[in-house]
Amino acid sequence: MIKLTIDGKKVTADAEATILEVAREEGIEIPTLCYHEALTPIGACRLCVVEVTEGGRTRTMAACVAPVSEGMEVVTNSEKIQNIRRTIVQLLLARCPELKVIKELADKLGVKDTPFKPESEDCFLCGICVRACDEIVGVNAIGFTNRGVRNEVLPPFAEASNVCIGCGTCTTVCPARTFDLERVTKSESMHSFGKEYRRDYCSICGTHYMIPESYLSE
Amino acid sequence: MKDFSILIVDEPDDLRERYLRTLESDGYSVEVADDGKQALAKIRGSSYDLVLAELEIPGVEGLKLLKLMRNLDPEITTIIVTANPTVEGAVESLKGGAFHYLSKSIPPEKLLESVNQALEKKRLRQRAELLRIEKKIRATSDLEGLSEVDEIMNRQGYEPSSLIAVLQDIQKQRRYLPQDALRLVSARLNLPLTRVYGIATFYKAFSLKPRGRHLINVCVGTACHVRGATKILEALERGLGVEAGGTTLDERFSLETVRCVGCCGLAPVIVVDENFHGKLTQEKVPSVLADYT
Amino acid sequence: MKHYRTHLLVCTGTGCVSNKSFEVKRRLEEEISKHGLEDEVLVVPTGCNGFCERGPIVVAQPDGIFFQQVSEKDVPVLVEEYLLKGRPVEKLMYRPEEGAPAIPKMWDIDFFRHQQLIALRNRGLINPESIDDYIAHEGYVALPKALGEMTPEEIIEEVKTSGLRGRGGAGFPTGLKWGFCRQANSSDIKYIICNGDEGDPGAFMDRSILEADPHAVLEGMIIGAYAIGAKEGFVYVRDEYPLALRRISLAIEHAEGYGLLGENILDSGLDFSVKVIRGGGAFVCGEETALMASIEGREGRPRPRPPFPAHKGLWGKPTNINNVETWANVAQIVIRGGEWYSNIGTEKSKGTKVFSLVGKVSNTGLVEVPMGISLRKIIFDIGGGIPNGKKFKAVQSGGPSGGCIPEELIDLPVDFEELTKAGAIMGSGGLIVMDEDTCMVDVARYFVSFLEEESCGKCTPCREGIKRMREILTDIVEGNGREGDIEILENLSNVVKEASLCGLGATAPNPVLTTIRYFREEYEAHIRDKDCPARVCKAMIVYQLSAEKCTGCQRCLRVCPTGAISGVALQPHRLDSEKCVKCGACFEVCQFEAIAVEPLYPKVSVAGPYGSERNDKAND
Repeated sequence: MIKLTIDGKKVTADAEATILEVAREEGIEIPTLCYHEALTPIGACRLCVVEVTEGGRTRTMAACVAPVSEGMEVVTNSEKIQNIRRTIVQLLLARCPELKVIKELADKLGVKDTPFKPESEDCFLCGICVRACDEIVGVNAIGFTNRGVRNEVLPPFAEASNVCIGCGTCTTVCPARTFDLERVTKSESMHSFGKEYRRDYCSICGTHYMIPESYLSE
Repeated sequence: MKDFSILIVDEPDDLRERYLRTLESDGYSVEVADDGKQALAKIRGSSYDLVLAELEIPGVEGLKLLKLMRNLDPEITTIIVTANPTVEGAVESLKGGAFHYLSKSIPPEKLLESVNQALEKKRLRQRAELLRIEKKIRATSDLEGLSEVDEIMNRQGYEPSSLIAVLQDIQKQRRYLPQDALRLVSARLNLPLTRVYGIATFYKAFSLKPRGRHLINVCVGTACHVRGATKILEALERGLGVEAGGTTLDERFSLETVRCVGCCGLAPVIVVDENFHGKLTQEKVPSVLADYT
Repeated sequence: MKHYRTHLLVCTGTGCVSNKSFEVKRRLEEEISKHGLEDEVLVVPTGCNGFCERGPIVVAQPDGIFFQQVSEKDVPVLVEEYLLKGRPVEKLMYRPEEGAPAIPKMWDIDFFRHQQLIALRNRGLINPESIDDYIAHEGYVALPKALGEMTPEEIIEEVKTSGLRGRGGAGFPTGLKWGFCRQANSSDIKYIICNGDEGDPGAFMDRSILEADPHAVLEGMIIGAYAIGAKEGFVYVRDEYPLALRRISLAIEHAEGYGLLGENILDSGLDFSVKVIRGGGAFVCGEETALMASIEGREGRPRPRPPFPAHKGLWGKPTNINNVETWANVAQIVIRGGEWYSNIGTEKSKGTKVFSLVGKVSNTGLVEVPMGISLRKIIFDIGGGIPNGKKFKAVQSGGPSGGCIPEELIDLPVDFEELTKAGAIMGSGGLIVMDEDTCMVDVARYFVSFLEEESCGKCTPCREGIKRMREILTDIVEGNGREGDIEILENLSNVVKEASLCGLGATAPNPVLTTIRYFREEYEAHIRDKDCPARVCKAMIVYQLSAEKCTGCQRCLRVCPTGAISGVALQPHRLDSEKCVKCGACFEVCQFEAIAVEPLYPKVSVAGPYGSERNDKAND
């Protein structure tokens, strides 16, 4: 067990825990976007940054990937951190002005508007869909393509994937809720990354599942 | 050297040592974990083809360990080796997905046989999958070009981590990365297509569209920038009628920018194919290009 | 054993090669043969000599005579006069300026005189493709000493004592890093990596070392492998350096042939092999976690640290990564001892550093100097100051992660901490000199555009933040800057610096922050007055042709790409600014100063309602 301090409070934690996990257990709120309990954290959105003092040195680190260490002092909500979070939200608001999850985050952090020119993206590249398709489903149907500002989540060659099994995981874990969960479970058909799926029923147990249209003819 | 890796999960003792040595002397690469927790940490960090596990070890309860291992890596093959074999244990293990359930009293050679059997089956299954994909690709693509691609991969020993080097060789040979070449690479190196495509679009060395016979790289590094590279680039764009990143209609030239070729003493510099041209001025550009047909 | 009376060392670094130095070498060999001198004179192709401005370069040893700007047609005279008759060929010797006396000996020339060569000690002296040459110059002397007389711990102590710090940019104490890696999981597989992904534009130190003396790097790596306990090593070289790739691959082959790589090296029991990996074309791969991802065959996206490579690196194993220049220093430290090395340099920055001195400076090239020397000395004494009578404005140190240092600070000693205090960084050693004709806002935008292109795109602050910085800077240089833009840039810079995932993002704002810090007036002039004091930003300048000075020579008319210049021969010409695309070709060729670059919105100051000056014309 490790002893550390978060926001002045002395806590103990598992040696392998991350700062985010410990904070959540202590009821301390740290906003996240690219974090998902079932997936490997990657520290990409940087909303969860906190100030960490270890061995006399203070650094800004992403809480979701930072391992705890003995004697560590963590501050989750200083002026500096608040400013960082607000600026990041301003950047996201400018990128995806229509997304509900970003607007809610902005409200929560007191960000009213953004000084940057608006774009109209519906994806902020958190990578949860890619990780889910890789780590949980295992088919790797979608991935990151290009780099930097041209980064995009797509199936290879931007063509309908022939390894996608239509499980709908990517659409249900997406924090931008680009697709509505209701629509996936109740609809007769689904459109995902360029491919059409239709609802069908298993003749053995009667549960429904989505099957790619093209497989129905094979 | 067999290219399968094995993890033995059991408390450190003489028997584990014997198993380790038997498997290693048969050419496998083997690692060990002392308990369930260590085993899971190892599987999270690396990839193993086969796990030999004793169920009665501290850390994680035996059958649960089996389930957790398969959650982390569905491709893993497990063989249970236990000091206390029971019928119930055997049934539960096999239901939980283990390949085999063996007693520790059997001689190490028998264990080796079982391991070889399990991995042979795995190899056959992988090969069948590979053949199925290759068949699909061959039905729709350029066979001759693909056999060259295969040769490139062969030279690197079909090593998955040689992906970038393989793509570089294909790019050099074909002047771009054709779609079917990428699909073949994905199948042969046993890598998801998203990974291959991701790499092809991440690095500047690669292009998915054919490049011209001669590649002009205008250095726009800082020293060159300060000494007028922007003007050289604009002169080339005007002269060739393409923007940076494009190829002329007659496929003679492709124009790209590159950040620093390390020739800063002779800024501004352009590189055409593998030839460096330094101390350029707008005036000199046409005569430099005239040499390249 | 043949004894030659003269060695002619021909520089065949990439720079001189592009200036046809291979042709010079061939012609030398031909002429020497013609005069029957093959048994007396040996022509040796060497790596980069360093004085790139004056290439192609031929140095005659043992006299140490320096011949510069040698072209193929100069060769017959050189051979006849100098080799046969023993007479100096002053035409090919170095002169600091026209009319000044020639300086025959290399080490008398200012450019070389102030240098101290450790990492570059063999440059221009040996044929880099010959392992025997390396051995003849104190090569592979450190290795048997290390393997035979020292323990791994003793070697690490020696490196710690030397005070050697990473030469790739971060400046982390090398001995300490080796110690961490050695202590990590002692029974585990370990790896050594040489980072040759020199991505900083303006930097070519690593390229030169690999092209001139690849064995120095290898020897350092083998000693490192022994000290740390690694069996496999990788040299990662950028795709854009074909000659460097060739030379290091050849060096590895030769070393293997001599049993200096492979199994049981020099009967010590050490097994170590090295593989060369070609980069894919991504600046971000110079960052260590991205580099390792690239070796593993993945996209070069950095991952958070901790865990650090010394504990969990390549394929999850303890890995020690060092820069090319760092490795090149190791053998000398082993031979002469860490204390010797620590006596050079400053208190916290020991030893020497290789810098690429480029940009608006007379003597561009590669220099190695002791730490603590002032920037002024490098730029003016070694570099020969600013050419064409222009004024010094700033020097960019540390590439896109570094910052611009203005004139008032150029007496700063070259030292890791001193440079960081000024807002820049030592970086890999690129020093780009800028003069009065450089616009600092344009420079800031240039760096930010570069980083936007090279960002891996994973984390929000870097990807989105740098993009927006580039947008704002572009607005400013295009004349669309607004009040408050500087403050937005400053805040954004600080957030990107603090919150980015890796070093690329964390240092990206440095060029912006330093140019705002030291050249704020230039930003304000662009925003408030739509004026570019350096006359660079196209939206704020206009080219004008003076009829009085024009002689009608037609040179400008011939180079104008849009036909904006018209006129009859020997009559004053006209420049139509509607057609002018401001390419500047006319300005470059005019020999009569008839073309001038003027502000588009000349300042007409008006006392505004609050008593401040405003440029009315610009804000119409």
